[in-house]
Amino acid sequence: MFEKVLVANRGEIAVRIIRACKEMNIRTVAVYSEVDANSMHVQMADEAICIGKAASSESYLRIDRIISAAEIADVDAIHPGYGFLSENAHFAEVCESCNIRFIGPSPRAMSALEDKAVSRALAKKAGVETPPGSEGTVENEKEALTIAKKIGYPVMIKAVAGGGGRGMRIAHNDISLVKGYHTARSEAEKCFGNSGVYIEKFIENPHHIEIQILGDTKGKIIHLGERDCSVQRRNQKLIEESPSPLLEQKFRKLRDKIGKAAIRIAEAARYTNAGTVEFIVDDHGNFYFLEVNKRIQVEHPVTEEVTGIDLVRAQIEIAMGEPLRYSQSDIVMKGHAIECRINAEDPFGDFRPSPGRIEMYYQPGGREVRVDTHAYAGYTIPPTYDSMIGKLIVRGKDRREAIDRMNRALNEFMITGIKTTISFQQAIMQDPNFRRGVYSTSFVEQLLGGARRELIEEKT
Amino acid sequence: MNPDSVVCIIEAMKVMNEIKSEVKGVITQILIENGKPVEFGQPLFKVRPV
Repeated sequence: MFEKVLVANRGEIAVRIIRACKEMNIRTVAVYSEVDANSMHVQMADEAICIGKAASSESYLRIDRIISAAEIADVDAIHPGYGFLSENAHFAEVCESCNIRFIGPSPRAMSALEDKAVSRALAKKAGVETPPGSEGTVENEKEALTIAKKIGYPVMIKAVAGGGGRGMRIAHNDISLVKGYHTARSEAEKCFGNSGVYIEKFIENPHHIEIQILGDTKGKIIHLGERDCSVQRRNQKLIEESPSPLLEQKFRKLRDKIGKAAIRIAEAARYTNAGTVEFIVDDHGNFYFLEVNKRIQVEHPVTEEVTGIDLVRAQIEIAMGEPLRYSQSDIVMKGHAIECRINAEDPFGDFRPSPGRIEMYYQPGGREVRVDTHAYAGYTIPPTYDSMIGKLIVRGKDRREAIDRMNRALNEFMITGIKTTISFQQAIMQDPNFRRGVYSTSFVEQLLGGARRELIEEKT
Repeated sequence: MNPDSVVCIIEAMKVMNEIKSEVKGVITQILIENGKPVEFGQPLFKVRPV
């Protein structure tokens, strides 16, 4: 049994973890940076220890200081939350060597899954496909043509050193491949000083679907269904839902298949605790393994709402060495849950960050509405950390009810003093394609570029 | 500097924002310190337009 847990995080996830601990009668220790002295998690925890200056490199990322705080407070375990040190295998190792339980996967499983090549190999061993492509860099035109022929058009030529769309070309046939191969190489050379490129199958209208898993220390692993996180802007998720409309409407048999694939990968890595196996699914129902997120995720509440399982509590129980209380057959997804991330950003000004003091704060309530946040009236959001200030989660008996409830709840949500993405989320809830459940990862880009902008009305 | 010259980067909420000059001119004084927080509306540079 744990008597005391240190939460090595801040913001809404620190609050979420402290709440779970309180319900389990576990005492809590918060750590915080100078700028977070008034943050909610500091006020909620039983004890709080300041670990340095605002910059995360001087506080939340300092392993030595967090361990010192844990020693001073004499805790049994550390919960790392998400981000910061949550997927740092070295940190997990240091915890274990100091006789403090790390609430997460074993350092060994973490390191194995960190490495792209190793995790691809694990997936292969588990019989799960990864996006088809070249093994390593492509050295000449001929090789490029051979690979493209093998995996089939369209293909993507990507710079090894790339990023931000530079050194990247899509090819639909041999002619555009040869042309794209050379331009991508010269662009990569110019931008990154490295002309190396590789080829990967281009997946059109991809859907980002992930499987929540739980594994105990006895080797039992189950999955808790999927989350569809295809509504993204610049690779940042905005909305997550469970179940996925794509699987519900088009590929009903896929849930079981992807779920089993996720379990096989987790088993191959001898994974313990909570984790998420990410997949990309195309319009034809092919799915490919991307990576494993070795932590609790931002969007975990949608899974909690449809399965009724408290994932943070499960994480703590697993870390205490308890066997999983559920079997796969106990997991039933009931109804539909949606989460909207509320960010301190200006949707009318290219989503510029909008830190500052919250003047007025009123959060929605009513049936099946949940708000996970660290925000309150009078709280000043520092410019130092990421812009997410809360999550609004609703559940409905079906997707339609959940969307209508979300729309209602967003309408009630009032935050003044800073700009937020609430109005943008409302526009999405009213978008006909979103309502029909027909969307891919390019949805937000299309919405912003299209004529639907008039729907985003500023709230007064 | 010319219009659109990047004069500094302001980091806010983990996003790096390039700040561009609005005028052609010469920076005569830097009013801020590297790595120190700034507020909305705070002057960053004194500029002599050319």
